[in-house]
Amino acid sequence: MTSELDQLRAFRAAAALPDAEARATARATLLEAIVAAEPADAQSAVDAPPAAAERVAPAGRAGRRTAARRPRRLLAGAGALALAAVAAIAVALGSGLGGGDVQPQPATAAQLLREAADGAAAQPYVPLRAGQYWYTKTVGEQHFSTARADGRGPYPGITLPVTTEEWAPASGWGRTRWSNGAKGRFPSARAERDWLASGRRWAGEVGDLRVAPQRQPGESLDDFGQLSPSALRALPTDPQRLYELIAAASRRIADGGGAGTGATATLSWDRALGLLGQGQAPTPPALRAATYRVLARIPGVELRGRSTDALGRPGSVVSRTQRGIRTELLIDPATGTLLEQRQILTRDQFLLTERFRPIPETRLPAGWRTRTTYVASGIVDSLSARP
Amino acid sequence: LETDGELIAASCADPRAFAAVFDRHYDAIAAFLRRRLERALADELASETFLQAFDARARYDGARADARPWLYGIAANLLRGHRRSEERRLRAYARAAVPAGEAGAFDGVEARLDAAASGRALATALASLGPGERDALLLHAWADLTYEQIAEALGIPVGTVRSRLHRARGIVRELLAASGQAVGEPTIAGSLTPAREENR
Repeated sequence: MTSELDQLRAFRAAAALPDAEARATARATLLEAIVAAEPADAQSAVDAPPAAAERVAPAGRAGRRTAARRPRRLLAGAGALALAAVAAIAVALGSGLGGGDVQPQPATAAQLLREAADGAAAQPYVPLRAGQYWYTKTVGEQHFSTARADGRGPYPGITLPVTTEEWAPASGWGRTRWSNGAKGRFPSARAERDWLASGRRWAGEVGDLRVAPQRQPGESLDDFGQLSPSALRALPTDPQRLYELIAAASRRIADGGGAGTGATATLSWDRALGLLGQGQAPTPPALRAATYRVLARIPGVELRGRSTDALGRPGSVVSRTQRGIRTELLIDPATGTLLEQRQILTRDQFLLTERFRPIPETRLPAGWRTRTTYVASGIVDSLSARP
Repeated sequence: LETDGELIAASCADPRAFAAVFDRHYDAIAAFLRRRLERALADELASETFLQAFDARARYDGARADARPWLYGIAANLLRGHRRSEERRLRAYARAAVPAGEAGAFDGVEARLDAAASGRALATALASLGPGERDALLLHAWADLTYEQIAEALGIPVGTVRSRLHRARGIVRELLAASGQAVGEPTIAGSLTPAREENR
C-alpha cells in the first residue's frame, strides 16, 4: 500500500536523470552571462581574454564559439602544428598607431555605420570563379600566449608584429604565408624572462603552408569570418532578416532564448564583425551593406571620431567595449571598407584557471593594444599571384 | 559553508560567485522540468531559469539561506508559458502510458510503473488539475518543498497552498482508486471535478 504521493514520486522519475551535456551547455550559457555582467572598470576584475579561451572555454555551445574565434585556421601539414597551436590562441589586439587622434564628429555611430552601408552597397561585386583564389593580406600586432602542455608556468606571452597573406581557393588547396617580427613587446620584465625560459620560437618565425581542402571555411554563422563562398551567398541581404538571423544565433548561445544579459549583443557584434573582415571569399556588397546596418542596431556601439590606420589611410572609428576589451573599427565610410581593427584592454586581463582564479604571471595590463590592418584583397588566378 | 543567500549576495559585487548557485541546484531544477516537459524544452527552461535568477540576483533577500523556493518559483513561472504543452503530454500518457519516441527514457521500475494503469491515472489526474494546483502538488511531491517554501516559490499565502494541495491530492487519490490502484490513505469523496475551462 502506497500513498498517492509515493506513487506520484515514482511517476516520470526516469525522466529526471541528470544529463551531463545539457548541464554543461546550461553552465556555459550562464558563464557567458556572468562574464558579460562583470563590471567593466573593476580594478580587481579578471577575465578570460580570447587568449585564455582555450583554457577556460566551458564545454558545450559556448565552447564552440570561443574556438571559432581563432584568427586563422587555414593551416595544414605537420609543419603547421606548432603554429596552429599558437594561432589558436593568438589575440588580435591593436597597437597605438593613430589611435589617439579623436576629433568631434557630426554624427552618431549608427549614422556612420549607415553611411558605410551605403558606401559598401555601391561597390562592384566580382564573385570567385572556379580555379581562382581570394587573396588577402593583413599586417598587425598580435599577442600570443599559452600555457605549457602540463598546465604549469611559465606562461610565455609576447606581442609580435605579424604579416599574413592568404590565398583562399574557390575549391581545392589554398595557401597561407606569414612572417612574425623578430622583436616583440612584453607586458612585464617577468613576462620577458618567462618567454626566454620557455624556448618558444615565435619571434622572427616565417612560414608558408599549403592549406588542405578539408580545412576550408565553414557553413555556420558560428565560424566568424571563415564562411565559405556558398555560405556567404546564402546569407540574407535584407538587414532585418540578417539581424534576426545573427541575433537568433547569438541568443541561442548567449542565454537560451532569454533577454537582458547583454551577452546576446556581444555575440551579435562578434558575428557581424566576422562578416566585415576580408573573409575567405569576396563578400557580396549587399551583404556587407546589410552587415553595417546590423552593427548600427547593436546597443553599446560608440563613435570615436576620425583616425588613420597603420598605413596612413584615413577613416572613422566606431567601438564597442565588451568583457574588458574595446574593439575599434576604422572604417572608410565612402566605400564601406574596414581598414583596421584594434583591440585595447580596458582592464587588466589574465589567463584563468578552471576555477576562475587569475594566473598572476599572465597579466596583460589595461591599455595593452593589438591591431590588424587590412592591407589588400583581390581575386588572383594562382597560388603565387598577388593582385 | 556559505548559504545560498550569502552566495547570491556576494554575486552582486562578484558575478562569478553565482556559478556556485548553479552547481548546487541545476540538477534538481532540470530534473523537475524534465518530468514535466519534453526534454529539449525542459533543458532550455532550466538554463533560462538560472539566467533569469542571475539577472534578478540583486533583488534576492540574502537572509533567505535556501534559494530553492526562489529558483523553483522562476522555473514554475517559465513553465506557465508551456502549460498547453505539458497538458498535451499528460493526456498522451493517459491514453498510451508512453508517448511515441519516449520509450527509451523508461527503464526498470519506473518504466513498469509508468506503463501501468497507475501511470495513466496519475497523468489523467495531473492533466485535470488547475495549473496552480499542479504546481503546488509537484513542488511538494517532486521538489520536496514544504508548504511554506511552496508559498514562497509561487508567491501565494500558505493557506492557499494548503487548500490547493488538499484538493490536488484528493483528485489524484480518486483517479488512482478508480483505476484500481490501492491507495493507502482514505479517499476524499467529492473532490473529483472535470477538467476546468482554463485547462483547455
